[in-house]
Amino acid sequence: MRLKVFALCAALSSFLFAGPLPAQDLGPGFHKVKDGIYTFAPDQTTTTCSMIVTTDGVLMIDSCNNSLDSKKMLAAVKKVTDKPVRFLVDTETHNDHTWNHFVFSPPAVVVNAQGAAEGMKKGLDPKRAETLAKQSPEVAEIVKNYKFIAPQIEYKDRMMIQLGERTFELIYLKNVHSEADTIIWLPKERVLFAGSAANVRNMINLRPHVRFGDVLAGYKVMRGLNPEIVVPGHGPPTTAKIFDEYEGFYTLLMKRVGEMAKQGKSLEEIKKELKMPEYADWAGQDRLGANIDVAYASLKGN
Amino acid sequence: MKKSIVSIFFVAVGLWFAASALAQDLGPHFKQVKEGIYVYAAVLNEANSTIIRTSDGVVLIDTGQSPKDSHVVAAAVKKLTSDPVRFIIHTEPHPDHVMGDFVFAPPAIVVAAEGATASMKQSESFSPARIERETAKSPEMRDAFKGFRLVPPNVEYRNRMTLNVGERTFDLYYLKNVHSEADSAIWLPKERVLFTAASVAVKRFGNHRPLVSIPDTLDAIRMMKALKPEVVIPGHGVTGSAKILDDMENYYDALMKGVGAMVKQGKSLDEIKKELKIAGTEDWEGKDRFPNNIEAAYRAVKGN
Repeated sequence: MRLKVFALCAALSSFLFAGPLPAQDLGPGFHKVKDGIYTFAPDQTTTTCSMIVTTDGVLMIDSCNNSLDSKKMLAAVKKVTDKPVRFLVDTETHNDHTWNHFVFSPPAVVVNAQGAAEGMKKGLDPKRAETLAKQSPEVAEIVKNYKFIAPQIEYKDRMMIQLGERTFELIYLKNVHSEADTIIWLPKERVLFAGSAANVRNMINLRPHVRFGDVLAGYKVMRGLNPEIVVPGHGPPTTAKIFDEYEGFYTLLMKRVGEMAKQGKSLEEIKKELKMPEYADWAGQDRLGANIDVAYASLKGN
Repeated sequence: MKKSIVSIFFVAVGLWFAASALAQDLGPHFKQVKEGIYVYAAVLNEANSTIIRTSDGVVLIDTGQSPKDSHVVAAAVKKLTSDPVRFIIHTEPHPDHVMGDFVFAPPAIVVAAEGATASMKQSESFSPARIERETAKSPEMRDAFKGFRLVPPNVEYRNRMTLNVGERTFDLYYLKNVHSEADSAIWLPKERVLFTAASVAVKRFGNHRPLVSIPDTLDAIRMMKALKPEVVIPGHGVTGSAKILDDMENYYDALMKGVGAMVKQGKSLDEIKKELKIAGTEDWEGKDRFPNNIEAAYRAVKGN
């Protein structure tokens, strides 16, 4: 009888210890967002990547900023579960989110919106693996297995993934950052992966095709979901307040660019003269020029 | 030297035979429609299930009329390759297309159009009582159902989706109101092979539930014709060419015209059901379904 009680206690305590791991056990840079949801975001600007554990395997969001981060993420996945990474959803097409697919796929099925493979191919440097291998023996060891992996699934507009007990709603956002941007919404958990439409107090590297009308429409969609936690494409988990902050920034930027354009100033003059002192503490100040370009194109209706 | 050339030749021939299993090697009910694409149905007009090999694993389009058929398909896959079944794509969520998903998933990932899960969960066809009735049909069926569980799709897309597996591309098109709550046409552009779902049939009247719209079905048929398929694989019935689409387009056109003319003459739905004949359908199967086809045309004519 005493033996049975002892065995029961041991089983119970091992069950308790097998519960969700605190983020600190996964290493520096990991944040526990909710039970079974972990994000790797070492600082305010580095690309985030996340894992969501389900009873039927893991779904990852983005494949991390670089190969060393991907390796850390893979080690963290193995600490948390013995189940495979079954899906890898990209929030965008750029290298800092997608280049390390090969670390997880196969077996992971890679998913993004329509146009993702084409977008990835455009930004592909065929010598990147070779260049990165020179960084360190550790990087060389990882990138020797490099293989370009395009998404196996490209959806148009909307898609839903059901994995174990969790539901992931994928929504395409047009013209907000890359050639194919996806936000991922977990309705039961009220967690939103917002991609790079809004980050954390960081001027975003806006490409010429981005349009503020579409970006603001994207914020409206995301706010409408009423998320409890927002995981941006760069920076640590936060809340929907980032949409307000960026909306404020872009609205003020458009207003100022509009006023200067009305005064007959050229784009070059605007870029030289326009200041945004209210946002002087944001990271990425060297990107203000690209932001002005987009504001100017958005106002001109190009 | 001569010896080594001969042995290389024999190894090559052996490998070729191993790689290109003929449809007849898979069993009497398999038909190879293109290299690496095999269609199966044990009985004419039962739901088709198709095996598509790729360099990255197997894709199935539907899993057979019943789990008994799913096990036959699973055995055929094993004969063809040691690769796993990576994806199952549903043409529709009805049990004769999806009941055997559990044989393959996991690890297979199940893909369907939006609404498939809701349709499956609402359907009485997957209830324990219904499963019990199915398994009671024969000892073979009881065996085939061992391990049964309802497998809702892992992926539901809205409108369009592309799946790339190995060297093959699968373009998925949601077909609205053609048969079930979530119908998908699947198009392999390189191979020019089209899976039409049950939007069309071969010399057979479709079973039109109240949700079916003939104008939407005609739109779907015209969209699929525009793809210019070489091989057309319907949800049920023998594989053919784009003629399957032409025949069904002609039928629905004639049905709409016939019903429209009789409505104009002031005839009631019951009178139309008694009197209407469509030339060229005399030898079609499923005549008991013709009245529900007329009902669908009547709804369309009346704008309901």
